Amino acid sequence: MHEECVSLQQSLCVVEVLECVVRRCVGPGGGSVLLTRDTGEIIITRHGQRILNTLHLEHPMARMVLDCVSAHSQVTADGTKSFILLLAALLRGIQNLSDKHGRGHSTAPYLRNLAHRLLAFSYKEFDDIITHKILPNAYFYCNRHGYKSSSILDLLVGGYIAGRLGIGQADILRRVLCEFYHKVSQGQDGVKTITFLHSHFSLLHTTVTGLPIGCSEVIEGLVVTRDWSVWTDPNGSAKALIIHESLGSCLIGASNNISLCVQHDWLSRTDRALEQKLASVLQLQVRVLLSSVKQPETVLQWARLNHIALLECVDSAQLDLLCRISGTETVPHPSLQHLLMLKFCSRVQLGGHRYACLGTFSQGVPQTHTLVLCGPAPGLLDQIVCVSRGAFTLLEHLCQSLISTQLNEYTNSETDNIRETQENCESSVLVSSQPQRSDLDLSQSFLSSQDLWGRIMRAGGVIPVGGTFEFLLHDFLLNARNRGDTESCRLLAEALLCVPRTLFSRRRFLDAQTHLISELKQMTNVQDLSKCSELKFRFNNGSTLPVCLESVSSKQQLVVSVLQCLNRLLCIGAILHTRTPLLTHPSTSSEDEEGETENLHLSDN
Amino acid sequence: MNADDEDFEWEPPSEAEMKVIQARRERQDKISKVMGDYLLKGYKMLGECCELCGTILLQDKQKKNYCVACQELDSDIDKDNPALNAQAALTQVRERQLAAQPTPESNGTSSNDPPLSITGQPRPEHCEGAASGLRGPALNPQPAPLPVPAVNPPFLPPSNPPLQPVLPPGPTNTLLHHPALSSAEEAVLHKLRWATQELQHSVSVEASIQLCNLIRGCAESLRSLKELQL
Repeated sequence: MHEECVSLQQSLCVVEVLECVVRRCVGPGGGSVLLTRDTGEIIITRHGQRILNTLHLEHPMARMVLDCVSAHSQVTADGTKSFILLLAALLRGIQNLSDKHGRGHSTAPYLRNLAHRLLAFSYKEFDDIITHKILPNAYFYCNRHGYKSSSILDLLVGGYIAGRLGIGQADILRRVLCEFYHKVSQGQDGVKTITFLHSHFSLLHTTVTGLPIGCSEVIEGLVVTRDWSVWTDPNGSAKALIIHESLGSCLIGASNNISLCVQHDWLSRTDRALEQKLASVLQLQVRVLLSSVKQPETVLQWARLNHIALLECVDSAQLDLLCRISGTETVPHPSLQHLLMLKFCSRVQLGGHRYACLGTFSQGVPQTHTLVLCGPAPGLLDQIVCVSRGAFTLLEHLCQSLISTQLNEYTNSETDNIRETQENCESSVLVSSQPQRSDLDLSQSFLSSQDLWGRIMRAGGVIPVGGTFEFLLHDFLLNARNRGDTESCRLLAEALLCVPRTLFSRRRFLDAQTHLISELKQMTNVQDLSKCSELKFRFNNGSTLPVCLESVSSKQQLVVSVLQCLNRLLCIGAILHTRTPLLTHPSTSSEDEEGETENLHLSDN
Repeated sequence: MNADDEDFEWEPPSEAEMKVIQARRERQDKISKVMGDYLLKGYKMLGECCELCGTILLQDKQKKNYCVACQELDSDIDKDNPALNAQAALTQVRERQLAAQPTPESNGTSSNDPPLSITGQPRPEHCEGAASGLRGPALNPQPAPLPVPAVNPPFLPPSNPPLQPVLPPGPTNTLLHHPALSSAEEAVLHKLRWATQELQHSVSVEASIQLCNLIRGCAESLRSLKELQL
């Protein structure tokens, strides 16, 4: 009876169970899962992250995998289900190896060694393969199949959403999100827009329950989810004052010392102080007051009398955003007050509520707009918001990774410029525009470009969905010249095919694979862009619509994350169960820590 | 590496081993699928494993632990040889009967027979019922159990006839004392006899299959009745 590594068996068990749960939801044709919470709330979802978070998992390995998945999806918001599929396929591949090759391949030291080799591969050679093989081929594919740069965003977002929402909902949301992006960017700097949208998404969207999804729209200006306390239409642009504390509480002046001796004329004193403040506000010719706190009734009365619009209890984060976008002047008057110009103020009716809408003059990018997302039920609405946020995270990740790739390439091309131009004539599209730039920062030139999506496509940042990336990588890994580790390459190559296998039925899978490989061979032989034929992608069911796209960088990140998680799983020597109960925050569970310390101890050799 | 010396002894896994590995993998797939379904129903995956089979335990909403493999799937060790299971069960019953009655007067060959039956060729399962059924009529203290094997060659492999003398003394000596149990046993035996006779005369396949099932059911009831006593 040979000693099998306990970590391989257990992790295979755990990950296979998760795979069975998640497999049925993969892809645009996948089903949804209906989960009932203990509170009775029903969730119908296809989103991998949400499904995994809702399961009750106390097994320490399962919790560790869940942590890895959460960390990965915070970076790219993509590929949760593919993560689990790929991890399961890798573990199964390792199990097959140990079955076929006997005892030597199933001992703990061998497995740890294998895990480290795979991790080392993901650090070094994988990057090379992506940069030199996958990215150029991705560009060839897109070019060959006639993708236009104007439709790239549409297809990217569409591809992301299609796997996460039902078909009807996906179409509507895609249209709304693209409209949102275009209105905010107004054709200007795309990268800045995406960064802005990603970092401020929670402030830039409003949810409305009870309306169908088709009512989702983009509104100009910033919607504040409060109604005006005092409303007068300023008719056009107006000066606005932002106050962060109540105007009535003027007793405590500059210092924080409170004297408790109450004087008999206290009321008249406070009244006088308040009047002074309000007079100074009037002097500034302010027509709109935006307050982050509730103001006393006297202030409301005063505002009504003087035809000043007042908005109370505004989220201070939104106020900060307003200040940042419009550029404010600080008033030297006591306590934090900022003055800014608003383009317009209005009231909007969304669903059953009336909200305030503030328009700003923004110089250049970004033009403030708010995304209004409607959904019939809170659960569905929650998912829509999650998917929208994830779409912008994905775009952000794509832009950032492409910038860093181009920076690397620029520094490399500086040293051997001539060699690069002589090599691939197609990738010279990237190099030829830059060889004359000597000192200019490449990231700036990339940022200021108008045609963001065209540049992304030319850099090979996007690739058609449906397993293209996996097939390509599989092919290159198997045919790679023998640098390093054939065993781990083969293992990874076989495991990669699990995703297209799940997406397609068996016959279509073989079809797709052979078709792709033959196209690849044709392209490497011909390498002439002007002669690209009108071949449509076979996955397309004969329709004339181009296939959706996915981001190569998120796929790359997925493989790296999976290999890191695999390394952690295989390096577990033993699981020690402690008496302390599991804390609700997964990262502080004591069993995980025990596993971690075991980890550290055993990976020292 | 200390695995070097093991490498010299390593051979590629044989056909049988590959089959076992394959069967184990399929069983594991089934377990994973069932566990996945339970997780979606709200069961909790615990950090402990079952002591019997090593599968990860689940806990339902009522805090009761549940092992999928033990309670839903069959025990797997000899999954590719199901006849061995039934065989093992029968031999266990026979051993108990032998242990219960000390005098082997008509069992001149009985001491040889159990080993023969254990090491004999495993009988196909569908013949078990027939075999036990055909032993049924021989339970009546008949002087010549020998004619019975003569009827049975189409059903049974040759290792069977030696078994016939084993059983008849067994049950008769271990007659149940409780009147209800003994009447139950009598009724079952009667049905068994009738079914055997019908089987000998039946011409349709369907009827034969059903009669065989009935005989198998009677044999199992007899076995359970005996176990009640033991």
